[in-house]
Amino acid sequence: MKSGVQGFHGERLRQAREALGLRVASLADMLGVSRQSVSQYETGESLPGPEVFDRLVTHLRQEPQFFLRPTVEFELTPHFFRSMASATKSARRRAEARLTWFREIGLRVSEDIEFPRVDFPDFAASNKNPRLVPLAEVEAFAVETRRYWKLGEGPIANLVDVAESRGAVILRHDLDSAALDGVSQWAKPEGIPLIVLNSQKRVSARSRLDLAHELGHMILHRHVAHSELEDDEVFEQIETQAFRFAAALLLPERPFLEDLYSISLDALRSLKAKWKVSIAMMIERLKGLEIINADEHRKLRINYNARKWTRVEPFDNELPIEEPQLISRAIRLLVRNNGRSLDQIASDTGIARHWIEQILDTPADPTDDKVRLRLVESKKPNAVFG
Amino acid sequence: MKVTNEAFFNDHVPEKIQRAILSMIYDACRNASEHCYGRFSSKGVAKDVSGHYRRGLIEDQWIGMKGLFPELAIAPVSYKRNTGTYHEITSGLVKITESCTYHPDELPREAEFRMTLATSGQRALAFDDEPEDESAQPRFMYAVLTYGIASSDKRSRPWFVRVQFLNDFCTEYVDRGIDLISKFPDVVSIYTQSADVSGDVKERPRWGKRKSA
Repeated sequence: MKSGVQGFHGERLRQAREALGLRVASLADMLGVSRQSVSQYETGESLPGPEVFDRLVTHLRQEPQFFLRPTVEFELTPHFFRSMASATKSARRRAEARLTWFREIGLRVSEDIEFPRVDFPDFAASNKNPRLVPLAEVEAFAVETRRYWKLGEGPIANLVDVAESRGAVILRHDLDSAALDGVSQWAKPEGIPLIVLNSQKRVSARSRLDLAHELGHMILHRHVAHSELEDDEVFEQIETQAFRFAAALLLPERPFLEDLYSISLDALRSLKAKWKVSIAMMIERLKGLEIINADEHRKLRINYNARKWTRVEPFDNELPIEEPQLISRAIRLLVRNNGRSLDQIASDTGIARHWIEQILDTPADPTDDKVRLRLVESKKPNAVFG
Repeated sequence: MKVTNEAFFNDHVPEKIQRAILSMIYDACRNASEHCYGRFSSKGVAKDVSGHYRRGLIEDQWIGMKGLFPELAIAPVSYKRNTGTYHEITSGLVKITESCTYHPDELPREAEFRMTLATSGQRALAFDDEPEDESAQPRFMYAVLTYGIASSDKRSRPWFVRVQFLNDFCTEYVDRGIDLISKFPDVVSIYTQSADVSGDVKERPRWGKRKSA
């Protein structure tokens, strides 16, 4: 038997380290051990002693039982990132780890709370190789998604509401990176679209694009295998497709163009309040629809930059951020009606209370009863979450 | 049978362009008001300047409209003494210029370019007594887009927007013209609704409130 804290799970250590964006060397310094030791703890080759264990708990801001509980074995499905090229591998790993934790918390909550049924369109073409899906088809999928969700052709008043009422679990959370806008994953076998939007991005119009982009991944790339994303060409292609889907979902061609009276920034500005989409995105939409050519696009961008709209666009401070409500309401319901405390939920999942509190940071909307949640008798995960 | 001026205009200027023109006027009024009344501490100065600014916005928007509606031809024309320019808009056989007036019955100020457009080559308008053979009417129609600004709400809205037709001497309108506000109430509602579409969301001025001079 190896010496050290028995029952210690190395994969939890890796998860906690990555969730904080720490390198092995940095953690080793904090713990006062070698890098090799940390690596060996993570791979299970050795176990930390009680003193090192205590330091782990402190520095990684977890409860002791977190490290004594095996990770939940989830099916490996790809994570989709909406990010800038400057997003580091470490930032992506951090986002992945946190998404996993929120998933575990959701799994626990779903034992007592019935979430809305997942109702996402599953187009046959999403089984296709992304390389084979032309942008015209992506555009058609966005139109079909609006029809499937009965959204009509006008502006979408609240995209978060739309997605949550169709079963998506969305969180707004500080991903500790300005280069990441969001991350999403089809949780399998639960069959739930999970989406984390970076709460550092506090501009409503841009955040709506981030969410629409992630919804694009969830709808278009539902069956894309993890391995396929390692191909740079495929990766680039699916990003282009997700952006096109997002643009078409938020700005359907015919009604958007009917509202537009001129190819000018002033005309686009006047549409922003109605469509709640950034002017920058409207410019890209016009280019994507081939309403403007490369030269006109360039001129609009120059004018856009001259107005200093790259920093703050008109209405950025006035359009309210759409706050996700589903998961936070579920936890509140569990606490209020089922007598569970946050400490108990933390204990059930092994995930520290402060992570759960971060979910509850979302301001509660007292008028939000659009998505029905109810307590269920079963103590087993329900059909939605597992 | 003689074609009415309105029918001829509608035949040559598609409805989508007429709607766009109305949107453009509303938007220019709003943007000019926001800019000038936000920028100048004196309301009098803001009022004086807003007309010039609004005209600039409108002239600028014509160029953008051409990008959206390829059937439009937009030609910048210099005044005779080179004191400025205006745009002459052509859609089919209709040529349009714009003028701000106080009242829908008021004529635009006298200008040589208007006289030229009204006189030279304009088709016989529908007020003429003599019946015309339409097939023998190769020339264009001259239409004036007139609009007037409501004095309330910091001059942020037009109170009329019309397409009107001048006689050959620019001394009177030959008929009532086309009232675009009555014709497209749905377009108007976008700019006048107080809630839920866009009226609800108003941009806060970036600068602080200035003390009056």
